[in-house]
Amino acid sequence: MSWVDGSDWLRLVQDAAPLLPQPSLLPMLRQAGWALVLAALVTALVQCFDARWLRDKGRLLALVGALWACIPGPWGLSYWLGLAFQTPSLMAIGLALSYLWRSVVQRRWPQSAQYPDPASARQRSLAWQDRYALFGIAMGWLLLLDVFAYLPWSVYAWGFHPSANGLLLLVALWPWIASGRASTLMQAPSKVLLPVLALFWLSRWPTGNLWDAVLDPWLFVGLHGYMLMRYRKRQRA
Amino acid sequence: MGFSFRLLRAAAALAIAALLCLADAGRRAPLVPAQAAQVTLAQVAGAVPSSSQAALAGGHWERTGQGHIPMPQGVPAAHASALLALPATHPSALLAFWFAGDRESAPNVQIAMSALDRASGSWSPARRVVDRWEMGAQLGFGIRRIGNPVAWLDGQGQVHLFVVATGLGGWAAGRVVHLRQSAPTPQAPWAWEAVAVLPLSWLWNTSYLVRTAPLPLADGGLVLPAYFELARKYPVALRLDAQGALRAMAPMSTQGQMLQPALLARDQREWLALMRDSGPAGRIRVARTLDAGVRWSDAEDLPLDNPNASVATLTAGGQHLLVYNPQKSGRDRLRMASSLDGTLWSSMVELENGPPGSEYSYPAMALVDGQVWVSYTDQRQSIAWQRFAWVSQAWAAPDKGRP
Repeated sequence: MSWVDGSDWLRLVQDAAPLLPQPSLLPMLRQAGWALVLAALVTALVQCFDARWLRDKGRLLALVGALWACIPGPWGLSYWLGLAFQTPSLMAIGLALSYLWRSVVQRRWPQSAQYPDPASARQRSLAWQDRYALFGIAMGWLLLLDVFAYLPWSVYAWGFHPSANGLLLLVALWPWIASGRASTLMQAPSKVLLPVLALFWLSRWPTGNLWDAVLDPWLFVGLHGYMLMRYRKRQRA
Repeated sequence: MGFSFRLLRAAAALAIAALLCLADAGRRAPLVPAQAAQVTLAQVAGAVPSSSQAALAGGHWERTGQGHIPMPQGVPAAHASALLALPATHPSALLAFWFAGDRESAPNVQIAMSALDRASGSWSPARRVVDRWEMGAQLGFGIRRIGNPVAWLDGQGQVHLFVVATGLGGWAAGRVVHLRQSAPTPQAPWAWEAVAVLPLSWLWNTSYLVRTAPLPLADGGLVLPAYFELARKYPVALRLDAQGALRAMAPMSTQGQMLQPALLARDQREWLALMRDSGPAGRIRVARTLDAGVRWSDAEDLPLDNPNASVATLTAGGQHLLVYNPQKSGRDRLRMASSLDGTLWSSMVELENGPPGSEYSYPAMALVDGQVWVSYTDQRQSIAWQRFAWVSQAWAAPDKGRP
């Protein structure tokens, strides 16, 4: 397929120069980002085991993982995670922070907070989580097809354009538009997405591209797992 | 009633989003249409003829020298050289960069460089200027291997390097790291510092590589040809500003088997990309843009064989030059050809014609003081060079009536 087919779209995404982040702070963001994501993953992982001693040591293990990620240079985990996976998205960092806040500070373990009975009173806010997860999955597939040049226009390049910011803001405000209650923004994933967008507008972390800020490939994989679990739970209910 | 309120909220959200877009756009520099710089014409005025067929018919390119660029002490392998011409006021006329180490993709591969002294015409001893450990320390994450370098000179006389640096995997896990020349010291007269990885791909920014020379733009920026090579291979044009920051990217083709585009500017807006073909065609493939890189489309293949090997292009005065391996398989021959329009090529000179199994590959070209320099990999062991000067017909064959 010739690129002439997508020419007008290309022209649209090329009329403004991208804003890129200051590179000096990126190593710190990478260390902090991987520290939070690792801490959240370790915390979630230990909850999967029945061994009480492991659960008791969960916070300590998470702390060790986080500190290890913060060590600069080849002795630090983020140095090697960065080699393979660069920097986690701001969204993944935000979700990790939110998870750690609930599970460590508020001591509400995620099984009860995240996946309640679908028939419960919180079903509506969970539906929003599902919708956002489906949106992320769809967006991820588009980006993946774009990586391998199967699309007639570059979705990734669009992430540098101001209009992508506007679209994501509309997505973040979606629950409010639908319900009319500002409080829904605090229940839906908007409560993470809105600060992530604000931080991206200010800092352009991690690459200057909006898609790198809101959806990294591991988060994309995780969303598939989340939706699979939701599907199985609904089947059982 | 509820629907009306929902519409009102949607309108309000749209207004907020539109304001945000406007505010975000206001923070950005406008992206003016690109134009290829015409520096090559100015640089060679008088030394190389203008574009008229008659002027070109009155002379030819003649080899005026050849040799090898010194290798770093005790290093057995070299590959993928890049050349960079320096301004006439600089004591060095030409810089050569290449990767050198135990073998391609070895852990100890570094970017080596040598400078051609303008006064003496000799190459300086090779020095290693970029290694993966130092680059990793500057970027804050590990780098597994380093590879192809591409060099560019900005308007302030600062040399930028774009170097392939791999993550987890082989070359298909490559990223493009931008390095900027740092202030020279007596111990390190040539030194570079990593600025950033160019953000090119959503998939952990992997599988983008560079190899061929950039096209300078009239605004002081450049078009850096790059390519993706994980499973599918396709070329992209990266537009960078006068500081080397990414400004735009445009895929050149989606056919899935073309890589290492070498750019030729037919005029300020019409450019060609001549490409290596990893498919069965065994030809030099072509993409073309008529609007200075915004839109690219596939063009007819050149009737020149190509054994899935990198090519180099250069515009010197009114003609385009191409160095390529003129065969469907093997890299034992290397040829230079010339063209007035970038599509019809005539063979000029055989640079190398070795025995089967030998390798002369990955050429690079530069124009220095009206002379064309070609560098290329010689047996994967060193970097060879050849120099050509334009010899006008009057000089080569004096008029019969003249004493």
